Amino acid sequence: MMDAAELDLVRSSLRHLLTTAPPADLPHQLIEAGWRELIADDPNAVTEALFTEQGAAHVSGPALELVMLDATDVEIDPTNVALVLPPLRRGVTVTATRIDNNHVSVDGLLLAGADRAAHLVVTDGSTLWSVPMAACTATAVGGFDPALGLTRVHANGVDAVVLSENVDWAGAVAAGRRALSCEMIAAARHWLTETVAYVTARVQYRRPIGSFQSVQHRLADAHIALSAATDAVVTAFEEHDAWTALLVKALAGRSSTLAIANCFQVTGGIAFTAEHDLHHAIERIRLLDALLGGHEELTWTVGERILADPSVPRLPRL
Amino acid sequence: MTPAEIAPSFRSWLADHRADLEPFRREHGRTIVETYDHDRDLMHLLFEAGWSRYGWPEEFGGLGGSPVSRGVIHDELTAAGYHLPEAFAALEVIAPMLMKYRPDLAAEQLPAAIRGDEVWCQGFSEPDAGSDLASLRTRAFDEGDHFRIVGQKTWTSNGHFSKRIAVLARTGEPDSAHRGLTMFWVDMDAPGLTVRPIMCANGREEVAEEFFDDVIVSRDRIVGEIGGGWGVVMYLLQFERGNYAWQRQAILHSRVLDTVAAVADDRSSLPPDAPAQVGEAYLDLMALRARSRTTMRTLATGVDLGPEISIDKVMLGATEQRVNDLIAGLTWPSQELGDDEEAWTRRHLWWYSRITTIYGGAAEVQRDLVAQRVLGLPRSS
Repeated sequence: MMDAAELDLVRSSLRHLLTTAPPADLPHQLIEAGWRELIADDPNAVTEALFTEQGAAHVSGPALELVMLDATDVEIDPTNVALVLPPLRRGVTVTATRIDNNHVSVDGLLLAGADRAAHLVVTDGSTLWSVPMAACTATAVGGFDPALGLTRVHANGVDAVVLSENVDWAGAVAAGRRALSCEMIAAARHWLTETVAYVTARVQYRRPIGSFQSVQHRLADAHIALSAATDAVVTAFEEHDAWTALLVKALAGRSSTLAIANCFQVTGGIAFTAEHDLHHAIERIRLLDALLGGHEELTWTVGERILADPSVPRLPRL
Repeated sequence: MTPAEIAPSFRSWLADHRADLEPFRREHGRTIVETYDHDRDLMHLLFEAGWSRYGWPEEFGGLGGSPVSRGVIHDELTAAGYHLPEAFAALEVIAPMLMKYRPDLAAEQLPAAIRGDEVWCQGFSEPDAGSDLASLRTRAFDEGDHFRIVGQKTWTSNGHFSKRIAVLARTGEPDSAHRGLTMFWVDMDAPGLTVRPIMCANGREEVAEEFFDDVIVSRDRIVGEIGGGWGVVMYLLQFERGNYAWQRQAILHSRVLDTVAAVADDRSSLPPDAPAQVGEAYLDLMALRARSRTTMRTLATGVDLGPEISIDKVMLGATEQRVNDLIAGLTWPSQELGDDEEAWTRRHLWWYSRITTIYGGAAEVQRDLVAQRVLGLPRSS
């Protein structure tokens, strides 16, 4: 376990890496910087630190792949392969359909920086395969958040090499959900801080708009939602299971979405302009929320599971 | 025993005493006094077996250990399907104040309260001082060896059957605001103190009002310093917004899951978006539980939480209402048309949840505090 001072050091070196390394080179640089040792030392705190820095700095990249690949427990070098993420489709968390042991169809998304890879890692939820990137059709995704740099990959019946026949993909998805939760919360938290400063300085009707109760309550609600989500993330790391990760990703998505919407509202017209940066955070949070299951879909899943079996554990545990 | 060790032992005790505990599977009594009378037997059982004494210091009649142990007991009791006695709520809120500021009084009186033999209440609000507590007008005049209290308190939970009341009164000048307040620990049978229960919308006498006509209170019943009442009440409110929230989430967890278990077999009776409703309420519950666990652990270390505690209070009110609305929806139209015991209980609890965003400082005031004291936004002049 790291102490607070060590963790601060890790945070600042991660922040430096994230803001300087080109996405394609980030896996390499993270590993060079001792990522594996850091993770071995304190996996939860380091994951939380990395994705909190990503969220605050508005940099999203292949670090998510590292975290998910680590969780598969399959030895994979992320510097020259890329992990395909599930397409945004309700209920779908896999990226491949098996044809036979050595042939699969592929459908999913690649994060920015995937051009480093000659091979892609895909799964049907139990088998993990490697497929040649050249055999897949890759289409750049513009969409709502072009800066995220997603690519859609698709292939029908390509050659595939089995990497593992019994992969813990649910564990990998859970790891990804925990990471995304930290990133969304941090992105919204960053803008809450910015917005508090803005409404304190911005004067209308001869007083700072931040002194109006309706403005204050919007930002109080943002703070309350993010504080609760932050406490819940601790639970996801404690439990380290798929169910809690699902719950927490739903809560983090809901909280971040509410918080950033409230920031937008009280920032006023300037936030609608391309000259102001807040809209980037709205776009990013929407996409981070969508990856590995949006909060509305996940909330529905939570309800379905409880309706099917109400004997769920009370989380967090004391 | 540590909190972690208590849980399994308590669980097996609960399992071994199923027969004795059977009468406490649900809330009993139409009036609040009947409910308290019924629950007292459970409090006795828990006290005699030692369970409700864990987490209270030995000098106050407890068995020592972390205050978090109390949270474990409340959680496990509800998880096992029993009704958590309401008296534990006031105890969690008022006892920490007495232990801190008047350990001698706590040593004398807390054991009886833990055992369920006496109920305590707080006399803070007044007809003209609700959330704006610092404007209260009940006066306490210093007359040498005693104070004489004159005024009126209201919205006092359990006031009409409590044995003691913590009274916040003005000892300073009328315009002394929060600086001129002092806390007193007053016996409810004191001459000159009359109590009138107030019937509430939920059909129960949840609260009472008290009239103080020259009530004489000895100096040795001052809690904290003269003029230091504001600090005392702020200390107490941390527990009202913290530990109390933990108890409530425990109760709400049981109510949601029990209701789902009762209705889920017949999905056609449920609203089409039942999964979304259940999911939303469950996320609220998990968030509240995560938040209040952090708070309870922090309070257990003796650290004061300050204005951050308003976060817990806002979350609690919202969750209470979401959960009770969910239950009303899942059991529809039982709340609207039912006259059986279960419908009556659900209805009075639904009604009670409406006040949770008002009592103990309205949700609007809590949001003001979060905005101004936590986020640092400018006050309106």
